[in-house]
Amino acid sequence: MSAVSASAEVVARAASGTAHSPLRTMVAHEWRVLRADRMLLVVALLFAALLGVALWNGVTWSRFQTRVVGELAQADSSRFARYADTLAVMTPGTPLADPFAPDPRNPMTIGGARGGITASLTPSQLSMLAVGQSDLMPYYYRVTTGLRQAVLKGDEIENPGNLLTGRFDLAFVIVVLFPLVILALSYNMLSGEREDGTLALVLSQPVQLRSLIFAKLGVRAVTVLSIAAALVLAGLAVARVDLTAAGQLSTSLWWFAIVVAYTAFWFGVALVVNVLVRGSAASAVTVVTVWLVLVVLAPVLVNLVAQARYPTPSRVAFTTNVRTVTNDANKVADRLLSKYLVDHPELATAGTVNMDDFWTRTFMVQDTIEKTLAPYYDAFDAQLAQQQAVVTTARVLTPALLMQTALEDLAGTGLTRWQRFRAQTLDFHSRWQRFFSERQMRQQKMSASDLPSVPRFTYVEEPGTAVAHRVLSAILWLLLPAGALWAFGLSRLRRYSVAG
Amino acid sequence: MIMTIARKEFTEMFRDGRVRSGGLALLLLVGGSLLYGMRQTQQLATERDTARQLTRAHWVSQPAKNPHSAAHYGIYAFKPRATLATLDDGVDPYVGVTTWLEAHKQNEFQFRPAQDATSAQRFGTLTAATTLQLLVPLLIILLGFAVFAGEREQGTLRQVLSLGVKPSVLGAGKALGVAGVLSLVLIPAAVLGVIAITGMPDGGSDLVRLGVMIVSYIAYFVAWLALTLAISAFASTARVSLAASLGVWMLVCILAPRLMTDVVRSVHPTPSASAFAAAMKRDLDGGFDGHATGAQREKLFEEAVLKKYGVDSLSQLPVSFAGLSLHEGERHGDEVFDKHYGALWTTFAEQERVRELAAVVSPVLAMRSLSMALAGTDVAQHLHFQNAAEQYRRSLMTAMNGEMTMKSKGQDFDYKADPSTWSNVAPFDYEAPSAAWVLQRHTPAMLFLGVWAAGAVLLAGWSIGRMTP
Amino acid sequence: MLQATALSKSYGEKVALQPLSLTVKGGEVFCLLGANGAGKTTTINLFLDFIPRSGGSATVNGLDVTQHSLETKRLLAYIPEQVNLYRNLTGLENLTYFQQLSGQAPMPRTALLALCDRVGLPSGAPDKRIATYSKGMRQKVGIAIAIARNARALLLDEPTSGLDPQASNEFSAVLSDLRADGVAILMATHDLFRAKETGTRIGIMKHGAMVDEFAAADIGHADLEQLYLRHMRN
Repeated sequence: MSAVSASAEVVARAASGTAHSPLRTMVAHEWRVLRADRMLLVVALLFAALLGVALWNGVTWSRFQTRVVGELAQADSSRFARYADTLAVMTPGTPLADPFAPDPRNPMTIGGARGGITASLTPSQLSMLAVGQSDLMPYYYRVTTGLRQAVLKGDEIENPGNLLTGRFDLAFVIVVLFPLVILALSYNMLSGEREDGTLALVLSQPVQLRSLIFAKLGVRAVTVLSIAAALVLAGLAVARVDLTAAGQLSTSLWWFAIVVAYTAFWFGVALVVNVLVRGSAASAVTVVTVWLVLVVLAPVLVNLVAQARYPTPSRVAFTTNVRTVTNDANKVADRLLSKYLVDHPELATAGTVNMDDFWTRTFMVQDTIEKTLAPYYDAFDAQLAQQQAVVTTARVLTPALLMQTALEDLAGTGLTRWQRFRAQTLDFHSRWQRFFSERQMRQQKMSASDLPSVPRFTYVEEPGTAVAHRVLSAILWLLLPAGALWAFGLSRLRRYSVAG
Repeated sequence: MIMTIARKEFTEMFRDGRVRSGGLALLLLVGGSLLYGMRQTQQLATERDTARQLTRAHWVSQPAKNPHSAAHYGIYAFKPRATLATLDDGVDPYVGVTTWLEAHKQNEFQFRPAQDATSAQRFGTLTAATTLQLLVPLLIILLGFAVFAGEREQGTLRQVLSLGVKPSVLGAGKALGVAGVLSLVLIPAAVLGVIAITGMPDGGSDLVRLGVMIVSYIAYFVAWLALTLAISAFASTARVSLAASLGVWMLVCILAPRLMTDVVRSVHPTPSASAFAAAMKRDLDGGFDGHATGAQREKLFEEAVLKKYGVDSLSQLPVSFAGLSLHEGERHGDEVFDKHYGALWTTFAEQERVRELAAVVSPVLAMRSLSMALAGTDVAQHLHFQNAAEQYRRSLMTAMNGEMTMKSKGQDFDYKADPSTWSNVAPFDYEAPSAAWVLQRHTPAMLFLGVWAAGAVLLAGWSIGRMTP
Repeated sequence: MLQATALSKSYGEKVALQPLSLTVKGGEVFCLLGANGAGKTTTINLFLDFIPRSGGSATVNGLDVTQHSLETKRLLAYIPEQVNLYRNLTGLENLTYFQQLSGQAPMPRTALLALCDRVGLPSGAPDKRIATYSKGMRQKVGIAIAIARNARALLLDEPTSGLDPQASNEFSAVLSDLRADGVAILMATHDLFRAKETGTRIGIMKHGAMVDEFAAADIGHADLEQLYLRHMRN
């Protein structure tokens, strides 16, 4: 508490021009009243405990994912080390010691379904701040020379019951519960004092209602923000996040900035309700309704509109289409070669490609399937983009959704980073496919010296400025309604009747 | 007497503009979600029926080919959409809709609808169930928080009690009054729901489930109503009563379910997909002891077969060794799948059980679990379908390998089965579990819900009985 | 010190206060008598600028209460029928808070305790939470606040109603002290006896208008009651 107390002092001192300004007295007094009331203690302790649990969950999940990604990378590198060992002692003709063991001299042993490589999305340093979509979206793919559909099919295992409810992460505490903490502490700042009769007495002193409300809001804002900041900093320390690293520090600062903007929005709501609604019970009903509409209903309704307006194409129909397309491609496999060579002139030299080769046929068929399916994939992406556009349009109505998206963005667990990862994986998949299919069709054997030229996947992070740009825009979209609420609240405050 | 009190409460509440607009908004939400749910259900049902016929057509229209080739070609299983999912789509957005039933592998279900959505999806979907579970309790609180505390504040409670009205009668009257206003919203909602369900093809077959669902929701609402009245009788002012009831709502409806996700995960950890796949691969490749290689197991099997048929070499066998060997491979695979998927599904079931036990602290957990189960959209019924699909895959593989064993010879993979072989395999017809199956598995949830309702009524009776004006 | 000139207030059609003029000089106690709804509280609320006036003016020490809202409040102290204080804070904490709200330097604890003693708060009470106080004790804290703030004018809204005779008597004694110090006091009350006892001037209000005004010294106890009842009956 002492940290909070100290910060209340800071606010008080900052607010006071002269030694004994009423504002300073009011701030100190508000702090004393809040402290004497058990409500603050209960709410603050509950809030702190929830933040702690959420941070712990975030850290646990982040460590889990980091461990899985590490194990997969480890498995890949030891397999490649085995290839290197085997290739180092072998000439093209020597038989394998174990005839059933995979022969790394064949390109498809390394590139095909039994080989392959993992493309993974390492959790960012600050992923503990939001579980986000990372429990739903795959964070690694097994890349082989197979079809795009086969590469993208892996999902992390999770009980759908858990996915449905969602995790108790820091983003949930900030987006959903934090407004409740704010509203619980401030829904009856004026009506409460009016009902207790102290408001008239206070305002019979030479103080302005505006200063009084500033003092009240200031103390509450500093209290809740200090608790959040202290715990999150503690969480970062426990997770051993190196804040001196440039990216981490700026991300953390952005995180605090948007939390402050969100706080400003909700205190704006509290201000307007305090000014407009006379009774405490009515205020409580009003703030809960506003919270319900903005945090619970609006995102759900926006999602409903997005899905009704731009429905996702049917995955079921897609699955059967894949089959039809595959059957058709297999039937005409022989005729596919000439088409394929148009796209791959480097293989067009007579005699390079042998159509009787199993792999060659496979590549021809795959190529046709991918080409035929491309419009379907595009249709999925296009509809999702349209849905996203609906969500973006509605952002001023959905501060909770805006906040959730921004927090996920900062934690690197949002859709943007994931879509980028998927796009890079697909790009890597075609490089991988090209590398091995060309070798296979040319009947080139792999040697130890070829291993370093095998494509490797590294996720290229989005430049920090792009994330910052989106977060800044979210902050502005929060401050816009917040400013409107504050302006309206303060202007109506002049008409606030103390008596009656 | 009770009716007089109820009528007064009803009139008073009904005249409150907030109550009327809140009720209307709720009715609109239920109506809207029902319409959307109906549209979804019809569309998904048609889509999946079409796909089921198509995948069967693909299977049947295979040319003459080796049965094992056909086994590799396989067939797709599509999860049917339960009619009652219109009311509660449960885990449907988070489970895959299809899986490929092929040789050697038990594949995971693919394409979780939530993966094809924006991040708004994670805030939940609007269904009749979420409205009933989260918002109706709020309406109940709005209606009931002041019934005693408000009168106490105004001093009218003192007058009423001075007239010699028995507290229990007063309590019953007020409860009836609140229930009356509530029924203005819930009865039209229930009628809409029943019309929506019975109007759909197959809707009639789910009437038992629908009936139990309605009864459960009534018990759930009774629990909330009694709890609200108990708090109101206890609280000194309307403000305290409201704050306490809303606090309970937050803890129970918003906080508890989320917290439970992480609790169940730490009590029964979900394995990572990579560890799961690696463990399964180890057993598939090496047998359960982890030592025998595939080649060694093949050799042992070969010896056993030769011994069984009393011949010296594979070429003397009257049946196809390839078929036998494939069958043996499937048998071994099935054991491995049973072990690993069995353990995984047990973990899921345990997680769901812990979640359901947590209904001790939150009635919404019991209601949610029961509602999903009755709608046929809970984890258990998804696994039931997954299991049925896997059993069908196994029967398909047995049929294909049997065809190979009996009709082919030696290690001959050149044998081509007649196209009629494909249509001789029965199509995959999934039958959803009965209502009894569901209820049996959710006795704790029903018990907890009943205990909550009864407990809340007793608490209300006690706190109204010792109420001071 | 307190002056109202043709001060009026109406809510739409309903007139709460007809143009009213009155003056309370330093060292005067002006008692407003009248039934509930006669406009007494409205007058006080207008002096406090709690409600916007419909016409006329109200000044404190020559300053308009609306234009100089804060300056005039610095000179005023207000004690309602029910002195409501922060329940979870002690009497002394409340006193400190309200004293400092006026912008004065904080008073030392000993001075504040002496003040509590002066208004007749039992020793030990200042450090107890307000929640444990009786109505009379809260009223005393209200006066202590007024004294601590060195207010030049006092607005009292039925300050003695609901007090036991002893508390009421003690209250009047403190008021007399303040009057002697030159404080201007405007008090709305139903207590004819107290009005005659402590008042210097008495005004009778009815339906938002001042129907009579006279010096307290000019009238006896019995006559005051007769006069009051006559006005009420007409």
